[in-house]
Amino acid sequence: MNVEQQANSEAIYGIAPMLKAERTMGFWDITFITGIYALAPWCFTQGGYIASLLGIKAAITNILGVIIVFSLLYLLTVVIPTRHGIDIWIYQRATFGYKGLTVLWFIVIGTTWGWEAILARIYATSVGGLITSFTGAPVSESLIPWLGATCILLGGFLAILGPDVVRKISYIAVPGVLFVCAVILFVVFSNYSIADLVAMKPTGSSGDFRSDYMLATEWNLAFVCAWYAVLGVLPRMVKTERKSYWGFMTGFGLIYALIVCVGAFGAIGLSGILGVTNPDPAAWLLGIGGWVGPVSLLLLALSNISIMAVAMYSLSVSTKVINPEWNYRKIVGVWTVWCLILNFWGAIWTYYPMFLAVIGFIGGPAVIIILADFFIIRKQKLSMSSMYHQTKENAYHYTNGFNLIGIASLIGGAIAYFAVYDPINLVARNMLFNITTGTGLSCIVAGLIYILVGSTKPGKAYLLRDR
Amino acid sequence: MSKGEVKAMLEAEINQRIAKFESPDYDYGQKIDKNDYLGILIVAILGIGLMVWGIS
Repeated sequence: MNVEQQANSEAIYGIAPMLKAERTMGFWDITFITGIYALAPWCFTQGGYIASLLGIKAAITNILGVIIVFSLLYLLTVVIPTRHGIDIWIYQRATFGYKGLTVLWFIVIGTTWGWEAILARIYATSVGGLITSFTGAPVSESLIPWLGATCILLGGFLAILGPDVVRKISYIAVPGVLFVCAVILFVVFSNYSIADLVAMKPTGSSGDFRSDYMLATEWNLAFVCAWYAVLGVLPRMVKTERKSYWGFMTGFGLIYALIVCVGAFGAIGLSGILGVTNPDPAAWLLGIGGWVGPVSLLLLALSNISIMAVAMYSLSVSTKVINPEWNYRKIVGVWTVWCLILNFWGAIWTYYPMFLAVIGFIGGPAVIIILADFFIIRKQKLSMSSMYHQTKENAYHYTNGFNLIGIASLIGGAIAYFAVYDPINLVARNMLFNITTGTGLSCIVAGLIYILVGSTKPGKAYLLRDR
Repeated sequence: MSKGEVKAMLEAEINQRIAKFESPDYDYGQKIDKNDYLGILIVAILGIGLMVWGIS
């Protein structure tokens, strides 16, 4: 089977509902796989930002508390693909209509590539750090996007070679990131006690602790929403809902939060040791010196290439789910170009909190609408044939392929988000932000609109045509 | 595999599976239940408690 055939096979496998007898994964399988996903180097960046704002004690408790508690609700979404064997992107034909879903899909996947642009940046600074450690001369900032481009091109090339190569190269990512975690924790805790770390002042604090705390909460809520695009593929393969939900909670919730905590320790501890105040883990590792620093940088760079290849492959196969007739290699090519544009643009790294805002105000409300639709409006009953047959008589055709209630709820959530939070200047627009945060309020508003309108008689007639 | 073949293969596979899902004797397996919801509540309380301790 050639690469195109394998991609076709996986796209078909990804679209068709998976029967219970075909499921292969248990709790530990799904925990391991989601744990691998969670070991992404951008977690260090997130932890670095949070710690620089709050200091270590509030940062660690905020990261663990917010990510785990919000994940408890957010990851309930995996119950739908586990029960019905369908990708969450198929289910959303019910919540947004099949045309509305396609529009949303392109916005979400287009934005998701921002994480890969961050990955390219961390790779570039790692390689730049390696060059510096050997030559002694700092690498020019103008060279960084070009180094990042090599990561994207290598990732794209490996993805074109097919899933077998991608799977083999992914084995580098996990030990690489774990080694970097171990190095960061070892260096920090061999220089400081917990009491020393707690006593350190945050370098990016505004002076108003409450505002900083709610800003960090906002960023962590948005960070959980980063899973939105990938919540549908894996849970279809898990044998029971309980194993699926708690497996996801362990990987995408607990392990994810713990890796962000390593980033927080790195940012606080290494800024004290090295005098570096930077959310980039490559900058911390460069300062460690000896053989450990360069080896860590090398492993971080290799991990980034392998994660880039995995992302290129999986997101390209996901794109084929939208239209299985598209050519896999051309899709990889298009996404490589898009990622290169984001990389050279540079804004996602420079305005990381603003990028998180986009993830938050789309990924938060969209998932809450899915949960409201499945658990409250549809009472866990759906029409499988309407999910797949997109004719005008179809129950999920709605208004020319758009579910106006779902889309209005999503827009309502986005308006609420911007009403309380200014993601450009990173400030609250009013006091409500300090109670709900922007992502929190957008979830509440979107969910309420969907439930209230969907519970009226005309709303039920519109949404429940599958009865 | 041509584009038409991919589409035809997909449609046939999907229709066959939908028929199985919509058959009355299809077993969806055990659903999440009150024990899971209790677990969610306990973890949520611990998480919120941790946050409160963090800002104290």
